[in-house]
Amino acid sequence: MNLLRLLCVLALVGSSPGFAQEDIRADSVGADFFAGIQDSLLIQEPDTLSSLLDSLPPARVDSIVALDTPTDEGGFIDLYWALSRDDVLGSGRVTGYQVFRATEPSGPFQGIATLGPGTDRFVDRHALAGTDFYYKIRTRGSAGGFSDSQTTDAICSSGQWFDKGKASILGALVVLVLFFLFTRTLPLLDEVWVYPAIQNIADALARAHEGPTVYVPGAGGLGSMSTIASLTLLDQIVPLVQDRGSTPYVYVADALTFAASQQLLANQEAVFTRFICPDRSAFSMAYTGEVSRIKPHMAFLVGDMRDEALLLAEADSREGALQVAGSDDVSQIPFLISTCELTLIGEVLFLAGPQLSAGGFRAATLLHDRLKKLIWLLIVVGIIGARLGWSWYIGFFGTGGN
Amino acid sequence: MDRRIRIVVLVLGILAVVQFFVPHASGRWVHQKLLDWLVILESGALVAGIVALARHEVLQFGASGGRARIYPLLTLVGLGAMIFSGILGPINERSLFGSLYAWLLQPIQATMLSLLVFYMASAAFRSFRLSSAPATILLAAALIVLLGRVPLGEKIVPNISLFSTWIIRVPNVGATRGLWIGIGLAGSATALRVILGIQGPASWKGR
Repeated sequence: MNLLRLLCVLALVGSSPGFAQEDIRADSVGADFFAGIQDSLLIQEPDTLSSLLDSLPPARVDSIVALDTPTDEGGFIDLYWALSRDDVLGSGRVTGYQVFRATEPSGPFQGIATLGPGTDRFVDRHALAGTDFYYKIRTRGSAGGFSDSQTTDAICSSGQWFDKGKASILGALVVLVLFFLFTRTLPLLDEVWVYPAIQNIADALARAHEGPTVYVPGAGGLGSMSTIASLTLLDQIVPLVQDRGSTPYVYVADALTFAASQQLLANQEAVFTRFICPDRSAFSMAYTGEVSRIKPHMAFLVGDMRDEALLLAEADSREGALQVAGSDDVSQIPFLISTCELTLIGEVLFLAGPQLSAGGFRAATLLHDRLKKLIWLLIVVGIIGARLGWSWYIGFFGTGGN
Repeated sequence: MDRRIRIVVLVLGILAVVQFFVPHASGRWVHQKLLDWLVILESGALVAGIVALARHEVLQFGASGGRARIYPLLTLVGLGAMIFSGILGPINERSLFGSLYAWLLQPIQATMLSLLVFYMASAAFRSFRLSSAPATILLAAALIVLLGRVPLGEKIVPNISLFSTWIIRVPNVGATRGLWIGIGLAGSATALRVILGIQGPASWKGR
């Protein structure tokens, strides 16, 4: 900054009409020089001073660092730099920065991005993996002047083979796999704890009587885990309702789910599986019409449901059907609770199918009984840790960035 | 057959899991290929679904009589109109396909969704009429949140907006997070059960 001030003073001296260079005589240089500066500073208007300052090129960017972006597929390079000393908020001295890139340290450099003032980082998303790149940052001033930073060292991007941010998920996955493999060798449990909601479904099915039962495995696709869970439940429900003399009607919105449910129920007789339409609105309309015609006495709405959940539930309600619902969509659960007699909330939806099947009791219930203490312990430690500022604990259970 | 399906499910499941941990371009490539195959499978399944739907409606048309015939007829006409207008003509805003979509399907969809407002009121009324403890809590919370969100509420009960915000930020978020923890754990367990063949396509007995 001192250097800048000195340059300003010299510029003022040079441009002052009352202090022309030829007036400076050898015998009076010292006194006249400082008197001249004083006069010129008095003569100059503030605007002129400002414009003179602006005409100078801004201070260049220092401390530029280029790093290969961690945890990426390759082709990304992170650039960080310290702002120009003239990049002060509101001063207007710096109008922005330009990022230049070259494959040789001597150039030619090609501009790849223009950034606004106050920006101190940039991600080059088009840095060919395996190629050395050199970067420099140009600071642009308000009067058109600019100054270039030093060129960075060579940097080469490469893709990583493991996302370290997901190490905790991998650890949990390994534990779960080992748990499943271990529990398959254990004898079946004689008595298992069953969720009350699932027990209620079993009781409701035991009271079922002749008449249609409708089942909707959600309106989502097979990509949703709740659809898989719903189809597993469907597999258990169909024989139970058929034993009571009821005819199952399955209404499907997704084509793949339709194919899967047909495969699932291939050996079941007298099951009507109907594909309607992937569009949720149209599905709701068609379903409303269908239930008004077949008048079911029991309805299952279990799976991936969004806005249509209430439309479907109200359609069943109008026909007086006993409704069992289940969803993993938190925003729809209140509507289902309000509308339906039984609602499988959250994880109960996923456990309903395995718990209703005799063989499935083992893994599903063991998971709950034996891991729940560990999970609760982790949650309680997490709550306390969050209060104590244990960022490492929260970071460990985070999913990382990708 | 059963063994082969289990192996395919296991291999594809492991591939899908592995690519989740691999940020390298190879991982992305595998992910993209799996998605491409999913699109191909869905396209095939959609054709099968439409054929099944058309077959069912034709049978329904033949089996039903009188006014009941109009429903399968409408479905078949609508299905045929959209398919043929899409295949034979261009697909843009001014085409027959675009007009059918914009002037017929969209208003019907909007009408159907607008019914949600009345359904919400009806569901809430039925729920509150039960007079149980959870229904009372639900009613009280709903009233406080509703009053806290409108300027009139603040006039009736000063500082109710603070209480309303507290309900949304503390008990609501706490319950939601609790649900998400359970859903996440159970969803992961279900995914593993599918990959290991304990549950899902490899274990469905109907096959």
